[in-house]
Amino acid sequence: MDRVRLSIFLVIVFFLHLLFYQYLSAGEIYPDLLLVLVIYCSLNWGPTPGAFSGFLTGIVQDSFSFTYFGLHALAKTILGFVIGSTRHSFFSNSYLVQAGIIFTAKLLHDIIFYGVYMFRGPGSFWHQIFFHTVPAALYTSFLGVALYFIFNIKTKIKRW
Amino acid sequence: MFKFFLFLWDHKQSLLILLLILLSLTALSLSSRQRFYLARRINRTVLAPFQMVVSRVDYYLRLKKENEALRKNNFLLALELYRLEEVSKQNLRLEKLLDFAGKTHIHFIACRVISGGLGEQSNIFIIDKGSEDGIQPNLPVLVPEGLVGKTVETDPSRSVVQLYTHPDFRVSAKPSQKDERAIVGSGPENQLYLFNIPLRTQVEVGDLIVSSGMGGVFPNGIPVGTVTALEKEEEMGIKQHARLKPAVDLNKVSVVFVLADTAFVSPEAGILFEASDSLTSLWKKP
Repeated sequence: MDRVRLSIFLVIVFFLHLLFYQYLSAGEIYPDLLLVLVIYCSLNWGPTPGAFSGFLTGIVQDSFSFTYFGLHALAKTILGFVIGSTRHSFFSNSYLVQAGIIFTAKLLHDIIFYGVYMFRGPGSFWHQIFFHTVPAALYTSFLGVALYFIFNIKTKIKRW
Repeated sequence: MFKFFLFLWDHKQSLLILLLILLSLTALSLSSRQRFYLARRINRTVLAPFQMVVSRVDYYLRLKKENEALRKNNFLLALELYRLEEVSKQNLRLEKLLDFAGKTHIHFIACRVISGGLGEQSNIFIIDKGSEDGIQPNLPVLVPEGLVGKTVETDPSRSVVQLYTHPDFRVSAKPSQKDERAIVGSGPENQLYLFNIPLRTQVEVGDLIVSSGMGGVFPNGIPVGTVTALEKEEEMGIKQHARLKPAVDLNKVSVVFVLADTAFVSPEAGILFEASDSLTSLWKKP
C-alpha cells in the first residue's frame, strides 16, 4: 500500500514541478521538486534507482535549458547515488530529519551545479549559494515535507 | 575473461553509476548544436504529453484571466462606441450645416446650443455666441431643416433665442406656392398654427408653409412647417387656421445658425426683398 502511495506521490511531485513550477515560485525563489522526487526514490529504493531517477529527472530539467545540457543530470545522479548509499546511517521518519535531508541535498546539488556552471562561465559562486540556493533549499524542504505529510508515507529502511 | 565478467557483475552498481555520470559529462561536452538537437528531441518525444497538459492548464488559466480582461474591455469599447455614434451623428449634422452655409456667401454665425429646448415646456435656447461675435437681438435663427426662432437678448458671450414654440413668437408666413400671407404662432396645446387664413385661400393638408419675408425679421422662404389639419374660425366663420407640423424638431437641435447679415433685417422692404430672394434658393423649392 505504501509503495503505491509512494509511487503516486512521486508522480504527483513530478507533475507539480512540470505544471506549476511558475506558480510555485516565491518571488525569485523556485522550489526544486524534482530533487525531492530523487531524494525519496533514493531513500526508498537505494542508490541505483536513486541515481537513475536523478539522471532522468536531471535530463528532463536540462532539456529546458540548452546551455549546460547534462549538468542537472550530473548533479542529481551523484546526489541520488550518495543519498541512496548513505540512507541507513541518517534516515528517520521524523519530518525535521527529512527537511534537513532535503535542505542538505539541495545545497549539495547547487554546489555541484554552480561549481561547474561558474567554473565554465561568469558569475559569483558564493553570491549564488547564499542568496539563491539557501532560500530555495529552505523553500524546497518545506514543500517536500508538506507533500510527504499530506500523503502520510512512512519510509521503511532495513538497518544494516 | 570469465573473471572480467565476474568483476563487472560484482561491481555492476558502481559501473552503472559511473556510466550515468559519464553520460552526463558526455552531454555536457557536446557542441551547442548537438545539445540543442538532443534537448529538443527529449522535449518533443518524452515531454510532449506532459507539455500538452501543461499548456492546456496554462491555456485555461490564461483564458479565464483573458476573459475577465475582455469583458472589461468590451464594456469600455461599448461606451466608446456610444460616444462615437454620438460624434458621428453630430458630424453629420455639422456637415449638413456647413453645406448649407457654403451654398451662399450670406453671413451665418454657427452657434452651439448650451441650454434649453429639451423640456416639453421649454421655449428658449441659450447659445454660445453673443454681441462680441456680432449677434444682436431680432436676428433669425435657423437650421438646414428650417426656422428655429429669433434672438431676443444678447450679452457679450451668450444670446437667448426665442423658439417658435414661445407664446410671443410670431412670423409672417404663407403657403410656399401662394402669396396670401398669414401669421404663424403658438396656439392651443403648444401646437404651431398658421392663423387667420382667408377662406378663399386654398390651403391643403400637406402644404409647406414658409416665411413670407414680411415683418422685418425673417427673410422669405424659410420652411416653418407642414399643414396637418385645417380648422374653421368659430366666431365669424370667414377665416380658417391651419395646424402645422414644425419643420424643425427642436429636441434634435444642438447647433444653430444665426443669420447675421444686416441686409435681411433691414426695415427697408426693397433690400429685404432682394436678400430674401437669395435666401429662398437655399431650400428646395416645393
